[in-house]
Amino acid sequence: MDEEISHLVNMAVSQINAGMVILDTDCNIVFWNRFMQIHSGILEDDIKGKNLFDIFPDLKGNGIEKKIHSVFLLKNLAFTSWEYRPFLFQFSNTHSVIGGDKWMQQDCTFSPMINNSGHVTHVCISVFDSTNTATYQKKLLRTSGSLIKQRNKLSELNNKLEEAQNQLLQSEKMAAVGQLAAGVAHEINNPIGYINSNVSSLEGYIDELLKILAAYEACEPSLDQENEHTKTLQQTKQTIDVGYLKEDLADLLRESKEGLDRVKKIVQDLKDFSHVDESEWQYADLHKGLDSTLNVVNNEVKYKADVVKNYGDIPEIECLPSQINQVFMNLLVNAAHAIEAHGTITITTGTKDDGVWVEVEDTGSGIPQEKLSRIFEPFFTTKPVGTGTGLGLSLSYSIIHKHKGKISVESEPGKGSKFHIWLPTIIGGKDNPDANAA
Amino acid sequence: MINSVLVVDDSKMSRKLVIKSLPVEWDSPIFQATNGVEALDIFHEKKPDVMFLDLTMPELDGFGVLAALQKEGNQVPVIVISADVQTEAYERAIGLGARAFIQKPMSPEDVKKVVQELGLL
Amino acid sequence: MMQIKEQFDEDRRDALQEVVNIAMGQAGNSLAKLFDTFVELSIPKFHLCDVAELNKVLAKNDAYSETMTILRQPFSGQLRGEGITLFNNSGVNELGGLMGYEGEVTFGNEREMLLDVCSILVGACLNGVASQMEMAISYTAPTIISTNTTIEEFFKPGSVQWRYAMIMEIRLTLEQYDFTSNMLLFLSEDSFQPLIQKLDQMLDEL
Repeated sequence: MDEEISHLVNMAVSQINAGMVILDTDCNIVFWNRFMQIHSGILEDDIKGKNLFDIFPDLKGNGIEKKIHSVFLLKNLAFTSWEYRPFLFQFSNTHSVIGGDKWMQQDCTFSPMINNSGHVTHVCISVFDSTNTATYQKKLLRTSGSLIKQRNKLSELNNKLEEAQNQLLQSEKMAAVGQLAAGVAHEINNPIGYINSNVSSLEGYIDELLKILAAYEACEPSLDQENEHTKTLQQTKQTIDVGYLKEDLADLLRESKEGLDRVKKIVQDLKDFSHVDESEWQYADLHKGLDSTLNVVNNEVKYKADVVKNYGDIPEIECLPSQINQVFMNLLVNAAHAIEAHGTITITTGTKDDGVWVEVEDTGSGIPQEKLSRIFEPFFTTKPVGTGTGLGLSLSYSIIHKHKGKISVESEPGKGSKFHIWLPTIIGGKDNPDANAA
Repeated sequence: MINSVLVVDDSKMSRKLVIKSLPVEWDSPIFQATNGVEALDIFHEKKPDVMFLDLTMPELDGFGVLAALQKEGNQVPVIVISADVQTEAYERAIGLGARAFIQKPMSPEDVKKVVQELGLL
Repeated sequence: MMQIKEQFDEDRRDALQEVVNIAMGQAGNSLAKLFDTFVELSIPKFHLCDVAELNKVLAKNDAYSETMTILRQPFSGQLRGEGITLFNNSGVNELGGLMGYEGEVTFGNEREMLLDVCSILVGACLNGVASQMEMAISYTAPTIISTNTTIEEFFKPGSVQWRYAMIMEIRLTLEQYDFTSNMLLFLSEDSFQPLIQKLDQMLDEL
């Protein structure tokens, strides 16, 4: 190269606003430009010929030797970036007045210097001051980091609000249904009442009529067979088939009375179940609650399962009966839904530790292990989309919780599930702020 | 006296280059194979007097070929020509009976040198 | 696309494959010396395909089924493109000893090591290719693109910039260290013509 150009190049390299260090194959420093001199405080003459790692022992043992070695061996570029190695050479920050990082943040490139025979004789390290970029980047990261945190918090709050809203809605729905049930029950009661009384009357009248018939039949043999009126009587008796009539009358009356009894029972159960006025804590018999709930859900259950009742000897417990019935309904309906074709639902009760336990077991499809821990979660459901709200169990959970009780589940896919509730006999401490919440 | 040559390499270009680098004095038929299995078949069938063998090939690689030939007690010189130029590859090939090892990219001079050293010219 | 595929006829493909073979042979040798261990190289697999097909092509290989750390090493010059290296997250622990780190390896160290290995692998391969074809290439610093992705997620349609890509699939295993890395060399469209020219030159010289 022309001498003048050569001289200019030398000056440029020397004075360029980036560090330049040239190492030989032993990692001895053969060139140390102005940038390096100014920031290190070491003059070129004092460092020429010295080993890089002797002067800067911190560079040992963390990959730099290998990096430089790879450049010599592979004739390839190598790099460091402030993002994972803040600096190669520890130079004081140029921003020291207004503040920021203590040390200069650096991006460095290691390049091979190849002679005419194609061998790498030296490696050149270029050091660039990236403190500005680094500062802005870090600031940006911090800002977006905190934004993300805030957003997550908001998201969480939103979810909680939604959840609470839904629970409230559900409770209101249940209350409305309860009211409806009570209303319907009340309306039906009247007509049922007079049908009942009419049937009783009918029964009486039929009795009387049958008495007349019986009286006639008693006289029959002693009647004059030749008499025309007698013949008419006998003919009428035959056409009517009195024998069949007598039998069927009895059956009809009996079945009608049974039907009416059933309706009365259903109406009573609906009223028991809804207990709209009873938001007062009271002592209640859980067996009664179970029975009335069973009646209410009979339509959902009867085609799917046989219900087996293993009722133990349990005392009345302090509770909100309508809410406990709600829990029973939830468990029974779930059990029925879990059974695919036909199965059994077993209800067992007993006492334990100053309280009463109720177990509802089904022979349904069961719940897989990984889902088991989540079933009391609001909106979590294993049912297909559109069926069920996924809120039943979570409401049940909070009702039991409010009663200071416990609810748990065991399940085996393919075998069935068993829900276990425990409720204390006495709640104690009615000044419970949750007591009137739901 | 070289009656025939077998050149084994999955790369057509590489085979061409080997053939081009063969000494002009060898005016003999040249057989080619593209993988180790083919190589052994042709070797047994045509019985060439020298084989040029690549190492990295599908089906059966160069080492596999060398091993098979060594088992048979082969005396025909096998010259390995390979891109895998690690010391271990070299040692392994020689250990399996290769007479010489030429590193890719190769030149006619490399082939000539080896052929002379082995006294095959 | 069809045009490019037609242009890369069997002879040219074969020539390119051989060039890469030789480059990897040399790379393997250098790496063996650098890491002082035997390096096992797969036969480079060459794909020329639409980026949309890319996923399908790579999915056939179960080396890519785990979640991986993906890095990019851009290069430019007469050949332009990126070297994408993929590491199974399990192999990363071995790197410390490999890269000359004494004592405990921090998170920052780990990142630097992965970037170094990516740089080394891509550079070793490309330098071999470039020198055989007498082309000039230069590099910028490598970066980590993703630390926990599957290849499927990463190469979703629309995620890669070019419409079609020329890809060299190369696998490297370091014997002593239970370390495997997969490298995909992507060449940009504007590299195809210079490449074809050089390959033709080499074929003519035969």
